[in-house]
Amino acid sequence: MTMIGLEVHMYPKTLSKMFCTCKAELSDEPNRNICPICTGQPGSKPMGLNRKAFDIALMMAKATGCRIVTGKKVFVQRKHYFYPDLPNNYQRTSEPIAIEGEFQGVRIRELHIEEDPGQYELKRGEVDYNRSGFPLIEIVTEPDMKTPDDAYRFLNSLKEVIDYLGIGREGFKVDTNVSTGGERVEVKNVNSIENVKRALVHEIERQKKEGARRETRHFDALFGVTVSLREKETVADYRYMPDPDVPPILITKQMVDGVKLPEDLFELRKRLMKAYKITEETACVLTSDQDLVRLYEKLAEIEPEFVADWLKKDLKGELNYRNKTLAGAKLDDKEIGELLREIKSGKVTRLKGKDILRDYLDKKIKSVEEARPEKIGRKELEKAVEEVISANKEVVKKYKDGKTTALNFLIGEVSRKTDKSADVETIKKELMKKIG
Amino acid sequence: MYSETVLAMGRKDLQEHIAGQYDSIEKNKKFNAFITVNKGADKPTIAIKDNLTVRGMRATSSSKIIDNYIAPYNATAVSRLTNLSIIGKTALDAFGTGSTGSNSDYGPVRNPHDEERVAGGSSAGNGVALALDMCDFALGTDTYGSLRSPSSFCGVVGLRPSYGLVSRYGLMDLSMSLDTIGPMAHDVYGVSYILSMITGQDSHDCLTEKSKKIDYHKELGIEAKRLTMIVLEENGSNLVDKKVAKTVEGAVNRLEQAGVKKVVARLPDLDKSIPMYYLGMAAEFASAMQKFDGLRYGPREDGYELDEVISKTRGRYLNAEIKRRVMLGTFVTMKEQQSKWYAAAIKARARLKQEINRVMAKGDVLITPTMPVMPWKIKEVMDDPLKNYAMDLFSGLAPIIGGPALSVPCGTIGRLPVGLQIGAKRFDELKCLQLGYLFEGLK
Repeated sequence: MTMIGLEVHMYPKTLSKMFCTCKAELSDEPNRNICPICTGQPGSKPMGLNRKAFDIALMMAKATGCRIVTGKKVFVQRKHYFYPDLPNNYQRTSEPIAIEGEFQGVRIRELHIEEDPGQYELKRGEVDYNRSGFPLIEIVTEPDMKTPDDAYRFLNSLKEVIDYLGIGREGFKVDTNVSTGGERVEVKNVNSIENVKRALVHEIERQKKEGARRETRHFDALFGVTVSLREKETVADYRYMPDPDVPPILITKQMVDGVKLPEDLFELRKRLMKAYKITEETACVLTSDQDLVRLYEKLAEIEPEFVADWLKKDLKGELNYRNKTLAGAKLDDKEIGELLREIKSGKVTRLKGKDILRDYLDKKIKSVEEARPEKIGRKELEKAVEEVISANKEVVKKYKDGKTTALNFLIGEVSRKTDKSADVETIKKELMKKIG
Repeated sequence: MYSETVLAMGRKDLQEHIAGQYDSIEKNKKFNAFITVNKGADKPTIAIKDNLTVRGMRATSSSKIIDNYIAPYNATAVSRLTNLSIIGKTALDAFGTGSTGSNSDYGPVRNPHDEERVAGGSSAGNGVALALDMCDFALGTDTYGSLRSPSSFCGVVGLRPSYGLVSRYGLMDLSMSLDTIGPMAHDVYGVSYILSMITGQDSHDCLTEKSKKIDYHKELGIEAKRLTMIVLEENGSNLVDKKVAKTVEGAVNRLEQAGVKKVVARLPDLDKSIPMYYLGMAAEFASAMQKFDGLRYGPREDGYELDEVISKTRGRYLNAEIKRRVMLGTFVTMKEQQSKWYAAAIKARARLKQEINRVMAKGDVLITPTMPVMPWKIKEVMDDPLKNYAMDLFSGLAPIIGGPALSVPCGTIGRLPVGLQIGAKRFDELKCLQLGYLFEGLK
């Protein structure tokens, strides 16, 4: 019987690194965000543990149903091994801060925090320490998954929860443990959910053909195969010992109580689908960001389907374009509601609404009211249509010759001329009438 | 009065004074005190032990493994020094691995009063530099006697501060749970003056504690006579040299005559502190030395594989004593050995801490010899590490409880000075300094 266990490393979203104040930011310029601490200069010492990373670990512990270890000192250990990406030749990794959880039917063995090494470019023999010291949270599961799809689903759900809580950066690093009845084989350092699935599919097939011995393998993403790294017998003794320079963490009940999680993601989706009669897909998009859900629930009464569609397409689109989060954009819910009502009532077209939204996001206007256009009168529209037709005789001819897409160009022209204050359907009707 | 005089000097006198120091450095090169000399000092001078970082200056820790390392940052204690010129970086037992000063990769440091003998260590260069008037003050480090031993053997003053009082950021590790940075000087005033500058919490050393800012040098002349001193029955051990014991006894008598109250206490397990120290220190040291692989700094040997590069580099550039300790430390932290050795050492330390604190509760300061023996001949110690280790008999009293200890000269045997150690409870450095200051005045 196939048994799969995972060690998932997620990157908590923090401004600085784990043990120094360097920006936790990758850069095209190697070794830009570094200091004596994260490059292991002789004499340097770790600063206090990044509190934000620790708080996020507690949130993840709760989100995965773990029991947080309280009333006992949790030590940050040194795990010793030699590798060029590891500036001190030991990695700092905490003892478990939470244990015995369950998430999506998979038991969680433990959760702890550690620091990421730098990036070693083997072929050139160069190391970039920008990533050195990034905080990591490692979540270790029991071997409760049976198929690559199980593992995929588990990781995907985990990713969705992290996105919903807004506490993680892009990307996972996953070590997988696979046993198909024989010895357990570890496939290390798989760097995406899709690749975990590919690695597992390949490894299970391979074990069926070749059998399994106790070893560590590496996943080659380019060829989709796993390659032997080392036999387990030769694995180094890491000589774990508490780091004498980092005070142990005592997790108190207050600290645990202080960590508040919002409504459970999966419950929330079900509730949204039922309450607003929206599709699962829409519910998933809305719950990719808890601020978006909050806004949605405030505005849904305007019209659930339309609001959901507008939030996920127009608002999300504009925010993504500006590389902003909803929370970061600091929008006034009332203004957004106002805008949506105007669009819904037909006073403002959806297209024009997007312009207003842009101006609002870019702080060109303070309120939607400032930008509310006069609804265009029938006469003005007719006039604009006539002008466009006479200025684009060639295009009109093409349309008459059967090139239907030419109409879109004319609609665009009219819309521009009327400052987007007429909706597409009305313009289309008017054009057809005039062209005949 | 040395320090106060120098600090009050006018520009011209000071120039002359510093020129004399450069002369002495030049003239006394055979003592191997300095690794790097900094030209152009124009303020009262301070020597910095070479295991401390000064931005832009070479920092070798007296080991060839980082022979060419230029530190890119300042140790916090160094950056807190004001109105002083750094005159140079001084030799030590490489990375602090020694109590004699003879384990420097840049030549054994020689005793200023008898060049055939050891200077004490590991802050050996500082002791010599002060004794031979090459500097006014010095910044040393003390894990288990490292600045008190050379203070005693060279006849100068040194203070190991409480753990957590002075930031260790920029101090190359020996045993992180015991390492401290402290001042050395010609007199108690000088040591107090430097200490006042360097104390205080630092975000770059999360084991520093919030402490009240004290101007130690302004608080010296008061209260000392009201202190109670504790002395150990039978000197705490039969390992103490008879002449040393007698000299220290004389010092205690003088203090008693001056009105300081004396109580006697027993501390039976003192000699057990030595194996406890060497096990725990080696474990931490092996971990700390892990980063010296030739990849990021220091010289590098060639090889086809990573392991080969690292082991060839470490094999060539780490000296025998460092290797001995790294191997011991690696052994005692191996998975199957940890519970037997490392865990036992940690347990023993907790027991000893209780014992010493019990003794400390009987009074204000604990008086012992700084070193149980007189300086060996350099040749004698080279081949016998255990003889070396036994010199640390009284060195652990302060580190084990995290408290301060001062060494002041208290007499000579022949040409060689003897040091008196004054220890106190954690953060009670003022009591050590006040008693030391009083004692200085009795001579």
